[in-house]
Amino acid sequence: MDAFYASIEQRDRPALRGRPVMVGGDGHRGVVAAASYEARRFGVHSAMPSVEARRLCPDGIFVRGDMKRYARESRAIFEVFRRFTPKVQGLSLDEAFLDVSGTERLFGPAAELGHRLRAEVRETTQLAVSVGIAPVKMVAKIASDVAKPDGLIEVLDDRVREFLDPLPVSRLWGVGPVAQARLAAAGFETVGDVARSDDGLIEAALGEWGLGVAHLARGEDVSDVEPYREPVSYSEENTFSQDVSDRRTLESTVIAHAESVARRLRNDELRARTVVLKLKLARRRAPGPRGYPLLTRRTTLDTPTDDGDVISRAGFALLDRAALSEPIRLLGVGVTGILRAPHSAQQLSMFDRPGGVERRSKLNRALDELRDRFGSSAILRGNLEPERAGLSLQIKRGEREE
Amino acid sequence: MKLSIAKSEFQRGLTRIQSIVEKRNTMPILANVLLSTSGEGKKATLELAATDLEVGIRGIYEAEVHETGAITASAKKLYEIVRELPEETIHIDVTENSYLMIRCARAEFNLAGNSAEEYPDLPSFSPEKTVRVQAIVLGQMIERSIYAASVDETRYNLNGVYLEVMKESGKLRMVATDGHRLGYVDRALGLEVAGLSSGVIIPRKGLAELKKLVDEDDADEIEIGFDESSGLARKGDVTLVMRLIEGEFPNYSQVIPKEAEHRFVLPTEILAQALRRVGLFSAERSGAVRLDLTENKLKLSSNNPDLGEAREEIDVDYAGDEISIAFNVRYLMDCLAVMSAKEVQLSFQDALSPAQIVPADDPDTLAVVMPMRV
Repeated sequence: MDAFYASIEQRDRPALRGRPVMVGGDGHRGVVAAASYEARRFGVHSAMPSVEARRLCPDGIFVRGDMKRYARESRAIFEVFRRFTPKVQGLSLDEAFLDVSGTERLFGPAAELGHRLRAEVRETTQLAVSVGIAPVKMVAKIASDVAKPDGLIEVLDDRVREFLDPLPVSRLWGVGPVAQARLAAAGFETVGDVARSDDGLIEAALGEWGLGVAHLARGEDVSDVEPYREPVSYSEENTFSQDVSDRRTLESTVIAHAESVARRLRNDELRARTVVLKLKLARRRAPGPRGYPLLTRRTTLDTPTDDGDVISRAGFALLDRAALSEPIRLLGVGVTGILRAPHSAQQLSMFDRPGGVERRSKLNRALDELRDRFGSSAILRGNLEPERAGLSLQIKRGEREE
Repeated sequence: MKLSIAKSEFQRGLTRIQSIVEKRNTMPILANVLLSTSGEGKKATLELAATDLEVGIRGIYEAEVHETGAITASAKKLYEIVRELPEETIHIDVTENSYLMIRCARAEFNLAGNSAEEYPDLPSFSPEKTVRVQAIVLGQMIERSIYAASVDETRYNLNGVYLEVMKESGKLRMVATDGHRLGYVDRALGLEVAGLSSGVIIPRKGLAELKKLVDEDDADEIEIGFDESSGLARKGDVTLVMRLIEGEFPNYSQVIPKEAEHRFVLPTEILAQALRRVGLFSAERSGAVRLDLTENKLKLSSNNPDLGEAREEIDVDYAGDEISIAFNVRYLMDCLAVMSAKEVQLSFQDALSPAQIVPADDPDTLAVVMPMRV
């Protein structure tokens, strides 16, 4: 999708149309989550600190994001995608790979399908989507980036090298600033430079991992479109608008995150065995955003859970273990060790009050229904919700460890 | 501070404290070891101490002290240095700005340290009375209970081993449970344990340290003492002090089965090997293995949606009704591993009640495992 969050805001609020719009927190610690094309002309881009964006584009309009609305929009778009193929691999709320091989008899050549998909997304959501078509995933992704805004580019089999060769090496997957610098030092500037080179030279510059990069440069991406990957972790974190050392504030933040993570687990019918607490200390030890020391503490529960209360208590125990002696800038609660619930086999316990666990899960089900109907703040635990500068929810997917 | 110490003596002391020092603590000083001298001249001593504020250990080692003093430095780095030094005398000289100059043969290190005043106080405890117990018996008791202790920090009262004197037998009992399984062992240590009027919960970490002390080659007897909040163990010149877990240990006697309709006896090794094989297919960490008992036959089986099924049959002396029960395979294997018995007896009342496993030759060791509902 093109400037997804910003486009939704412009669609829903006509006053914003044609004006530079930035979605994200505008506080001194906020970050731009999306910028409209009008804002991009000023050099604003996503992941940029809001302070800098404000400097570049003083007349820009900041909109506090509404992730729930965007997620709803995303579901509608993905439903459109699935009209064309069941093989849809979501990359984020607004990006997906579609494997359309074998659909020619239904929808005609890929380019025709692409035009139709763009039209149907526009019809359903009044939002613009760009499409890249290619024999391999990475090339399709790059093509869709090049097609933006509101375009379609098809890279045919025999044109892949021609398309990739002039691009800078940083367009290749996995090539970040460090790898780019190493490649530049070895004389590789463009994808073509890498593609034409001997594997040995790339390996010398990047190590064994460089062989994969060389394959990508030649358009030999063998990875398939993977329709669904099991979640391996759920987490939620926030940066405080002011550094916090008060234990009660930390605890109520733990509860808020734990309850939310637990609700997502229940929603996906999963349970988690390991609870992770993430803390960023407020005192910076080195320059840059990575200069704040990060502590993570994890603990494994005896019994997998989807109960916010259990996750909260684990969070408190981890807070004790961290033995904080200075203020905190960011706090996150996550879970890993995900198991599908209910298990095929259920471990019985010795000391639980009869029906204790079942009563708890009944209560949670009732609370979930209330929140589904009246919104997530319809019913809260009796704790204050702390002020947050920015909130982010994450799900990591992949192979689960045994 | 200035001293000379034999490499082997120094290394022995530093090895002992490695597992106590916290590697990932917000208090960096806790990664250090505290060195302090006592006396001066050839017959003097060096004390090495470390703590994580819950458990503290101090050991006294022979050294030649030229100048008394104290200093603290990274326990891990010091250990790594000493381990690599040749088997000769090590000379340590502390400079005014808290550097340790370490010299041995022709090697020289200047290790940054901190002033000893920065090191926190070790947990201290001087029990009114201590008793001496056989190290080998104590070691066995720890081994046969600690495996069942919980690692779930939300259930801190289960994060250790409960130590109590049994009123009827006068024996000492160690028992641990994580709510899914339980292990206990009773031993007559000859004496009632000093200061132990009611039971105490010894934390896992402290007990693991004690086990290491007990396992040392020269361990013969260990002196132990307790009050309500602290425990102490002493072996020769090494003293271990730990804070006990405050909390109530659950009333576990109610889960120890009183009756058991179904029972069989098997050589431990045969059962353990079969469980290891069949357990290869147990699904994920829930690890269920199913036991089907029929006349003179025990069938073990497991299945995994991604892999398939595994089965194994064992001949067994059994004449009761047919019954099936399932367990987490790891719970069974854990208790078999510590029982060191030729034969074990497994018994249970029904498929949803706790099962009991005892070594055939030792009724004072027992494991209870809750089954799984499949």
